Amino acid sequence: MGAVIENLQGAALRRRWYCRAVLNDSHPQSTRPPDPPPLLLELLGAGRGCLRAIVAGEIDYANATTLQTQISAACAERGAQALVLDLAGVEFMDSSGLRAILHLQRELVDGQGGLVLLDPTPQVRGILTLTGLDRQLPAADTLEHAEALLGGGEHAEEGP
Amino acid sequence: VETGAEHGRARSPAGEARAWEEDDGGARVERGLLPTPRISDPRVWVASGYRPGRRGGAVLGGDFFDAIELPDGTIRAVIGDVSGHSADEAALGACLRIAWRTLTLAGERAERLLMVLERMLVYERHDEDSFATVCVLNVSADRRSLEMRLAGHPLPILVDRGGARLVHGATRAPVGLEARSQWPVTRIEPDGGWSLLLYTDGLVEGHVGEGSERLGADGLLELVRELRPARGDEGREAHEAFLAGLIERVTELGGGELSDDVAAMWLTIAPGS
Repeated sequence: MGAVIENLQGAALRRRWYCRAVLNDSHPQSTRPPDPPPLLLELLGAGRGCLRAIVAGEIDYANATTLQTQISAACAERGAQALVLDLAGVEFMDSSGLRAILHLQRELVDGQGGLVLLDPTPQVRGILTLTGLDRQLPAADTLEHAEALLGGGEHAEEGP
Repeated sequence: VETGAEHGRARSPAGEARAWEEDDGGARVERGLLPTPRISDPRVWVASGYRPGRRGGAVLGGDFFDAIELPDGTIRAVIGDVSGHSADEAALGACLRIAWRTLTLAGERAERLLMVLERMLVYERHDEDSFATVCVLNVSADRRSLEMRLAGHPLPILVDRGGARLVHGATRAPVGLEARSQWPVTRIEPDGGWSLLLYTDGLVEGHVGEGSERLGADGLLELVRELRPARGDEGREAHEAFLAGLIERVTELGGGELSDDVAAMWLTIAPGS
């Protein structure tokens, strides 16, 4: 549904595969001047059974479901049980984004895996604290820390 | 454990659109979400407002509020926001609002009321992903103290003699995510007469100007300080005009429309009472 995925095979280092997508958001036609920037999604392999999804842009009701579907499909396709959701480039996220992340977390936990948020921006940390979901969604400052949390079992509990 | 049964009830998008176009289905659900507050104390003024986001008026969000005065003189108020934006979420919001009113009128204490509300959401939701942020308030019969319980909801703004400020309080996760978790209680004792702004996240998540900047709670607080009724001009009408003006201003800042629905309630204890 409007998502364009280019497979860029054979990327460097430990990446077994690499793909990048622009999730064309489905904001209805609007007269409001500034159109939101597109939401970018990059998917990288990050260690055994682990997927790293790098998201950049603004996550809201218009694109949250597409984002969730894309990441979910990528996990299923690659047999990934663990997900590092890299949010360093997410300038804004609303409750639709939280809902999408909680959905992904439930799917992964059902498959004996888990999810860790990587380096969320202050706005995203703010909404996690406001909603009390910082206790439910583990976050890490570095990729190593995120992988350690995931490697330690499906229910990584402590935050950074 | 959820069964797959509720997923089978999902309607096709076309069927959903039709249901909403036929004979103002939206207006009927809107009445379920946004009722007339029932407060008989003439010293207590409740202004409320709702504005749909730019998804257009075709589909409501799940924002809801209510306020009731009980025979013992206490006032109970609630504001909530069901995640998601389909007719299902709007119906779920109306369901929660009516459950809240029923339990409140039946005299249930806050702890048990909120436990039942959570169970209602889990039983009634069509989508296992649905959750709701909620803020409930008890106002004492002498109007001098408030008890607030938060489940992931934006912080209210209190205005009293000391000025306007965000009411920081402990929160639990939104309703529907942590069935067994406790509701932390925050006690508030305003200085003199007071007003309280309850709102849903659409009021603070709108754009400000052309960039990616959002209004945020601090930005909203500034607007409340700027626009609140001046001393000496504190009639009921001034308070109603304030809330309408506040929502209008936020809408203007967002370039003439809001990206998300907004519901807000402005509860005022009349000055001098």
